[in-house]
Amino acid sequence: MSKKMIVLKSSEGVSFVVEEAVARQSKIISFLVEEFPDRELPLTNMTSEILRKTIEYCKKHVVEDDGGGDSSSSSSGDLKEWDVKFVAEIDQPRLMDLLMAANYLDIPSLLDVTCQKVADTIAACNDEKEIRATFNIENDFTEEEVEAIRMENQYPI
Amino acid sequence: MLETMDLVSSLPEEVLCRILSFLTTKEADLTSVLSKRWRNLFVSCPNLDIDDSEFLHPQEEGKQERNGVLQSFMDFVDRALALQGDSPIKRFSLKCRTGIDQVRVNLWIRNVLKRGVSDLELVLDFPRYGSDGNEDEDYELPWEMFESKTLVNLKLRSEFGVDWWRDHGTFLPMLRSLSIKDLILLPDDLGVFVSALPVIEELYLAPMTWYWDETVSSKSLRKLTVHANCFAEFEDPKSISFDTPSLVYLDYSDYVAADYPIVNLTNLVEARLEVLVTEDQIQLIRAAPDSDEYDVVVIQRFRNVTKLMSGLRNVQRLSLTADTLEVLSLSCDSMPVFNNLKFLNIKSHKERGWQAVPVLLRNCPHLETIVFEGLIHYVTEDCGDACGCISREDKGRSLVSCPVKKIEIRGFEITVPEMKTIRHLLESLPCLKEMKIYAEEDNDPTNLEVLREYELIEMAMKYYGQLFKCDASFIRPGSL
Repeated sequence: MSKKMIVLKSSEGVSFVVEEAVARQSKIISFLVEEFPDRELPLTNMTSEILRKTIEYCKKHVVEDDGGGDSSSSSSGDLKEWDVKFVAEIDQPRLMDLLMAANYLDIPSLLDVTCQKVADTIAACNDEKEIRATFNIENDFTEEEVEAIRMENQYPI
Repeated sequence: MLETMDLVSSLPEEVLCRILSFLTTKEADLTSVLSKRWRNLFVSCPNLDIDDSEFLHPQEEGKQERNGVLQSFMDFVDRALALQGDSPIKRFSLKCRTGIDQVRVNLWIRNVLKRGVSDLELVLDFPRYGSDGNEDEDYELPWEMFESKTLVNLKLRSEFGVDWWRDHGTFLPMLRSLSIKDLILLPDDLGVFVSALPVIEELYLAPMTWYWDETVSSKSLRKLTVHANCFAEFEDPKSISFDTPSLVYLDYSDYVAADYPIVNLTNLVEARLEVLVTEDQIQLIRAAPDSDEYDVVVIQRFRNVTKLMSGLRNVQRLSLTADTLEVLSLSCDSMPVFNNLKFLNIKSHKERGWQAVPVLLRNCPHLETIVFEGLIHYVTEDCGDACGCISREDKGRSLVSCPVKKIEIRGFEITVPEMKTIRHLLESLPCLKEMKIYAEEDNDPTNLEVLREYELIEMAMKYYGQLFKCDASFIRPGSL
């Protein structure tokens, strides 16, 4: 029996043919497939590049239902390693896009992997200045507010 | 100008909260000074993860200084909680060691309980009454915790042990998962206790103490871990029952009970069983029927373990320890057939026998994988054909009918009896396709003699693989 395929279309109009089981890791796609079977699904807020990355992740994480599965612990360890590599190779703007895609498509595991990467980047910073510089966050506090917060936040460093 | 945009702050609030949830509260707190948006975010973040070691470890020298750090840690938690006001909280994790004001800790716990916390993790290393010369303070968890209508997951840890002590009873209507490490006391027997947890699915109590007459009865329970072995002075339980038809996973460690009247585990998929015995009991088990030491009553008692085994007969994965095997040597003639069993894990010990192994192999008609944690065992006349320790003539045919395809051997100590057993298994198991042998991790990998031995084993495996048409390999330590 051949596997059922579905078509996802990126914002540039590029079509991606994906196994249904792979795409169904997205709760949104899972829902759409049931509501609109045999239709191309347009994902207008996702570039081809990000869609390709998302599909790559889903392909790796699709649960192969062949009834077997001893030594599952080692393979989940391998998956974790693969995940770390997967996000390590992505630069920050694309990581944000991927995070948004995971959020939009509702793929909890991909959302966790990307959020974790952002959290790790924050944790690696020495102080708030470094975090601001890393993420281009604008400090919109007034001098007085900063002083007030500083008075409040007295913890040992 | 993509590179200079503040992409992270433009993420939706729930995504930013998710990011914060991967940070410790101290790290997350730092983000509260980044900008107004981030400040508000910290306030509404539904997770708090507080660990006093983040404060204490860098500067523990000097008692004066330590007291100052403790003070500022407590102020920090007070402030974080005050900042959040009464906004709902999902997860609260608190790790504290001695020296923290216990009254304040309970105020924090009450605060999050009031705000509807669903996941609560408390690692409170507060001494119990009488421990370590401690005679005045006796920490008690706040009573609100035992009656929370919102708790779903609860995890308690303490190196001094946890007392689940409550005069007015427990009722946790939403609790699905409870995990207690080092449970010293429950107020009731486990049967009564579990009835106060109507939707409980996962219970982890290890190590723990329980009463001599226990019935675990729950329709909702799916995973159960009980290690009832924390009594140093040894006393066997009288009667242990499991009436848990939904259970899929059981990890049970305990001394031999006199009886197992009810073992209702129809949906069990995986079981890990450790039946503990003392050295005196080993002597009784091994006593010859015509000797003075032979005790019919004791032997009958040990044979009741069959009732427990019979309750496990639907499992797909089964792990047995060396002590368990020794006890089962008395029940070889009443071993149930494990029709669903695909995976068997056997732990060996040089002082414990393998008499039950042949019958186990015969009674698992669909076995696919065996993992041996060690091959060296106490050699007796009754290991049958399961091992290669003594001459192989006329030792039964348990291996010939065994359909196992894959064998893993861990903790291989490079001895002649082990090599004989390996060869014997390769030779006798007709369906075996793969054998992996992992060396003992303790061997010194720089020792030349050890390296030479590894080379020899690798050569032997290559030769065996060709001879017996099986993918046989030896894996050196650290090469995983």
